[in-house]
Parts: sequence; C-alpha cells; structure tokens
Amino acid sequence: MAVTNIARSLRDGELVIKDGTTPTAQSLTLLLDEGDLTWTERANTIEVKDRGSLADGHTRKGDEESISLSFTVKWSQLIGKAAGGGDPLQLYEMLMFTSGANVVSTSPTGEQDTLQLEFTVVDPAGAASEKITFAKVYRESLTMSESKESNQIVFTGRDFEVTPNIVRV
Amino acid sequence: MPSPFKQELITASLFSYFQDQFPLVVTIAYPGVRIDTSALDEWLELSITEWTRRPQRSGGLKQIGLTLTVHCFVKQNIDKSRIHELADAVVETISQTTVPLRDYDVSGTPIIGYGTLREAETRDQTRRDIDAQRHAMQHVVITCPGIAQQT
Repeated sequence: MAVTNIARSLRDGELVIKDGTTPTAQSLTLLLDEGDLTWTERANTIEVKDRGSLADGHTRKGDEESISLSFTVKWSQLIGKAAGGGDPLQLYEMLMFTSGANVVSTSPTGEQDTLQLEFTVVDPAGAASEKITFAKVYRESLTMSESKESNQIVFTGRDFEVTPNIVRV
Repeated sequence: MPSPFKQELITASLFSYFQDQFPLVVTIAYPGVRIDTSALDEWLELSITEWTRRPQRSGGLKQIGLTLTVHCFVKQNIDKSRIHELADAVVETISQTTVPLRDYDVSGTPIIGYGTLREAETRDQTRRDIDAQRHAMQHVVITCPGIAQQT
C-alpha cells in the first residue's frame, strides 16, 4: 500500500513558482518561505426554502468559486534579473511581473497575469509524495513588512480554478 | 557539492572574526583551550552558549539561532575602569555585525553563509560581598543573540 498515515508538516513541503515561458518555464524554488501556505476551496450552495422551511425546501449548486491562497516568505533580495540580466530571478520581481525580469503569464494574452504554483509534500516515509498544482494564480495583494528578526513578503491571491490538480509523485 | 552548514564551521568563522577585529591586546580563551591565568591581569573567555533551530522546510536554506557569550575578567590590582574598556570594546566588535561564514576545510575557504549578530547585552557579575576580596576579580558578561544563515 502506497498510502502512509503519517502527519505531514511544513518540513515536508516545497513551494515552486513557474511562469508561462515556453518551451521551458522560468522556475523559482522558495528557499525561505515560512511554511504557512494556506488555500481554501469554496463551494457555493443555493438554499431554496419552502415558506421558510428547510425540511420542505431543497438545495441547488451555486456559482463556481476560485481558490483563495496565501503564503509568507522571508524577504531577502527584491530584484535580481530586472536589475542585471545575469542575476537570478527573485520572488518579488516574479510575483510583480517586473519589467526586465521577462516573466510570462500562464494565462493567454489579454487576461490577468497569472503564475503556476507547485506545492510538493514529501511523504516522510518515502511512499506517496504528492504534488499540488495551482495553474492560474493571480495576485490580489503583496505586502512587504519590516521586522526585528526578518522582513517578510506576504502574498495573497486566487487560483482561477475550482480545485488544484493533485497527483502522486 | 556545497559545504554542510555545521556548528563547527560557524563557530570557527565567528571566533576568527572576533580575533581579527577585537581592537585591544588581551588573551582570549576559547572553548576547550586551557590558559594559565595566574600570571594574567585580564583575559576574555569566548563561547557560543546557545544553538536554536526553529521549524523550517527540510529543503530550504538552513537558519540557526545562536548566542555569542564573552566573559571579561580583570583582576582588581589594575585600573578599575579597565573592565568597562574591555566590555565596551567587545560590544563594539560584535553588536549589529554581519560576519561571512567560511568553510576553512575547503580550498579557497568559500563562503557558506552569513552570521548576523544583533544587539549585545552586558551584565556585571562582579561579587560585592566581603568575601569577594579573596577573588579580587571584576567580571562582566556580554551576550549577543544572532542567527547563522546558509546561502
């Protein structure tokens, strides 16, 4: 059996961000994320009551809802490739599609800029690791804040899908 | 293959930095090294007294919290303000400092990370009781928290 009932923790995760460059996407593995990735898959339901009664009423499926997600990263360098072509791509310039970083959206031209997030959770027992892919993540906010120990970048956004794609790796 | 991010290498880099940068000529005792203090009027004892690791990604860059501790000893038969001169020099040397961490076992001593020392705290441990004359020693402890970050 490939399933192991061992609780996973932030130690087992790895978050990678990819853009839509073809044939090979630009890829950034987050090495200083806080391990607080959160996503929520919502389901809307229409409740139709009969004269206020649930017992005599019924439900219908509501509108589909995109996935909300957020994560936090320790702030190191904000721009790299945008400042010098030979420097490696940095998180801030990737999330902001900064000019000069040549980050390409994963959505068609004319749509909102999106990126692909791949979250891999390694099975501590080595049997059934899983990769969760969010294909069209757009930014709602990016908050930079100072702190006495390490400054932080907080991303909040949405993935334009009802559910992420989860596969065993 | 990158160098492992070990306490041994971090310690060596921080102690080497201190030895190079400390502006006064004073004997420094390092952990595991015995010095004969009977002929000395003053000396420092240097150690890293705390290593802390917080939960973090196993595949991420390693970050290790640490506390650098420096004991300053001055025998009371010399200038009474000398202990403060030593303490001030220690604080000036280590506070709000970023130190390159090197692997001295590898050719070229590549940088494997950086140690950031934050604000130092000074405590006077000199004994004030009547029995203190037996010790005849001024003793100040400086502790400085920091973090070693792999690059």
